[in-house]
This record gives sequence, C-alpha cells and structure tokens, in this order.
Amino acid sequence: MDYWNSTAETMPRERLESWRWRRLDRALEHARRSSPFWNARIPDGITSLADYTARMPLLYKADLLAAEQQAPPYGTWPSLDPSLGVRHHQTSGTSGNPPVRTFDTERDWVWCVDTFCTALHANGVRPQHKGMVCFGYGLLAGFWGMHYALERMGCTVFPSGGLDSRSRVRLLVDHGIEVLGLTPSYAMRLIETAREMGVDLAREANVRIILAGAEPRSDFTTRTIEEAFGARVFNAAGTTEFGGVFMFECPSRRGACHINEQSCFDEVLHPETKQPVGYGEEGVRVTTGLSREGVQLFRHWTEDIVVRRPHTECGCGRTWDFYDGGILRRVDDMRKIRGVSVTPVMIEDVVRSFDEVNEFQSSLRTVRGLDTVHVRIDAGELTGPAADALCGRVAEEFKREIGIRPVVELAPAGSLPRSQWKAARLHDERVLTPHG
Amino acid sequence: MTNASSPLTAEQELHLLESYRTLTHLADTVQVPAVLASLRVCLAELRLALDGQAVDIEYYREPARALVA
Repeated sequence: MDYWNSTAETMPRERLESWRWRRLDRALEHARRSSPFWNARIPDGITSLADYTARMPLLYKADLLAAEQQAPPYGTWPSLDPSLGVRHHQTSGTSGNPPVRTFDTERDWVWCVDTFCTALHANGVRPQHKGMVCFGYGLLAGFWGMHYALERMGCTVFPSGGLDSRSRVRLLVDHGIEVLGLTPSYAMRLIETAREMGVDLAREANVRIILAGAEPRSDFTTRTIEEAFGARVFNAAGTTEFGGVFMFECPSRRGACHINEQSCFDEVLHPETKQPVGYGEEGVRVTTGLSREGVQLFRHWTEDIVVRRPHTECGCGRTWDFYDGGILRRVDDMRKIRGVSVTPVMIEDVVRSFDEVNEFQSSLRTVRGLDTVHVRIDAGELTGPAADALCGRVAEEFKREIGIRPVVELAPAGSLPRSQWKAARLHDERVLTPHG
Repeated sequence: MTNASSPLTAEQELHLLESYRTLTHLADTVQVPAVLASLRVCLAELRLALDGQAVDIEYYREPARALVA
C-alpha cells in the first residue's frame, strides 16, 4: 500500500491520540491568545481530549454568523490579522443565511492543498497524470484546492472554469485526461452533454479517477457515472469553515471515507441528546480543526449525518477511522410527508434508477390540505404513450421504495436546471400550519 | 516517492529541521521582496512537511511575527 504521508496515515492509534492532543492543546492556546471570540468560549485548563469534549461548548452556524455580524467581514472569529490572508473564500449563502467568510494564510493554504493531495494520492493520482477541475473558480473554496494539489503532485491541470460542458467533453477526449474533479450533479450533466454530442465517454475519453465531492449522492448516481465514464468514482468532502478536505474514499473498501485525523478531531453525537454514539450508529459529525492558524474551528456542529467505523474494518493499513458512505445526509434534509421520512437522496435513488431520465426536480406541495410529492422528469425527446408509461413506472417505483405515490410529470427536454455545483432538487413548497 | 516502508531517516529529519531554522532566520533578516516571498512559501511548505512527520516545531506564530513569515 502506498500513502501520501505514511507517518501520519499509519501512525499507531495510541500515538495518534497523544499527537492529536498535543496539536489540539497548541491550537487552543493559539485561539485563546489571539481570537476574542474563542477567548470567550474556551474553558480554562483543559487537560485532555476527554476533558475537551466534556467542557468545550458546541459551535453552531448561528454562533459564527453572529460573530461575523459583530465585526464584518470576518467577525471576531479569526486568530490572526485577516491582512495575512492570501486567499478569501465564502459560502454561497443559498440556504438563505448570510455567507460564512474565511481567509487562508500562506500556511493554511499549503495545508489545505495537502489535504487534497492526501485524498488524490489515495485515489491513485500520480505525477504526470492529466487532471481537469470542473467548477466556477469563484469565491467558493470548492475545488480550488484540487487544482493546486494536482500541480503540487506533478500532474498537468486543465483549469476549465470558463468553459461550457461541450468544450469540457472535447478537452477530455482530445487530451486523454485521466483525473476529473466535479460534483456528482455536474458529472450527470457532462454525461448528458456527451450523449447529445454523440460521444461515448467510456470508449473515447480516458478518465480513470473521478473525485466527485461536495454533495451526497445515491448509489445509482455513482454507478451511472462510473459506467458512463468507465472510471472509478471516489467520494470526498471539505467545508469552507474547516478549510480543507476532512474525508476521502479509500480504494480498498467501497464507501469507506477515511477521516483525515491528522488535521481534524471528529466526534459523532446523537442529534437530540448530543451525547456520543458508538461505532456503526448514525449521528451528527462534530469537528475540530487541528491545522489552521488564521481561522480556527472547535467542536463545530456540522449537521452532517454520518456513521463512523473503526479503521480496522477497512484493511488499507491507515489508522484513520472512516465514515461509511461518507455524509449520508444533512440533519435538515429530512422531510416528513404523511408520516413518512423522505430525503433528497432517497428520491434521487428512485428516479436515477431509470436510464431514460436525464434530469429531475421534486417538490413537496399542499394539495387540498394534503402533503403531496411532485416529481418533474426530463426524459429527452421521449413523448406520447412512452413518456406516460415512464411517468407511471417512476410513480410505481417511488411508491414501492418510499411508501408514497407521487405525481410524476414530464418536463420539456432541457427545461430543468442543470447545476455546475450543488444541485437543489427538492423544494418544500408546503403551506405551513400551526401544527407544522 | 511516498511509500509505507520508507519514512524519513533521523538524518533527513535533522537536515529538514536545520533548513527550517535557517530559512526562519533568513526570513527575519532578508529585505529583498522577491527573496522574502520565496522564503515565506518555502517555510510554509517545510513546516507542513515536518508537521506531517509528527516533528515538534514552532506551530503557531506570534501575531507580531506573522507578518514576517
């Protein structure tokens, strides 16, 4: 087995714990000394990891936004003067909240890039590979780190920020690009575009490794992408708040997303009691950053639902535990429809199982006082009885898998939004009543 | 190349630490912008390399020193 950094990735667990405590101790000291926000939150005299989890308060997004508002743009949160930043990033703010803004110092950025290198190396990326990163190269941290990681590893990078999907497909084919970084939603878009162009990606392109991050995806979506490209899809995730990649999928066990335990100290807590849950149980990921100096993070309640498993169940030799299946969903993704729990990934799992569906959108509506699910599907040029039959089969499968019969309608070809970033395919348009 | 069977030797680690100290000293004294910029990047890279090997180095900067490197 080959690692990006064997010392950190295969360190015996006991040594890893003591190393991480030393790192956390220093991080706390730096934060207390330099950040008014953290100075007010960090209890005195924390003596161990266990003491830390027992006494350090959880950090919610609202806490960060309040700190930002106190002293915009970065708030009282940073532990170094923001003028030391060499990059500024912020979240999109599409959830209705103001964006979270952060900056990276030179050191922070080198570390961020290294977390991408750790993931990419594990996925099989090597010097002289050619890689293309499909994202907007804007304010979002997104795949910026992957671009620089490919450079750092000795690969040739194709920065495709300003290109449309057809140009990207042509680049993939013309240059035999082996490595691709994008969201699963955008991978589906590229597949659709290639079909429109008459390009068989699996046969004509040379993509071997796809890092598909930034959003949960269904197994069907992963399989569809792998089959269309003839490549292996790897999951990975990072956040703007954390500043790097905190987990990456291991080739040794499908779905095993190793936590980068050099760079973070993660806990998994019960969503309601907020007590630790055991290996194999669902809970909310709570993360502490151990590497960043400009903007630090302690016990951040991420709202990511995960299932943690011990490193011994993977077999790759890494001593870093893993999240089975990565981020399963977000706490606030779950919707109750007539007593049935529904998430975007569950809907995607059903709809994507039909090869004829190019894209879809779903919404929850109140019809004559009753919660209903509406699904609009784009099936290309399919019309008439064949389209009606497809809608019927989607509705039937939905009912069989999820337990609710939806209203399924055909949308005109190409009319549904395609995303280059995270796709929003479930919209809650229900009329709220006093009883919720 | 990276390989589970080839961690840093004690001698290599020592040389890296000495290089880090030398670069830190230079960053404190050099005034040529182009050289100082290179030193800043080198220090960030070297610090990360040493940290990845669990080598104890100065981890966080004093805010006053941060402007230098």
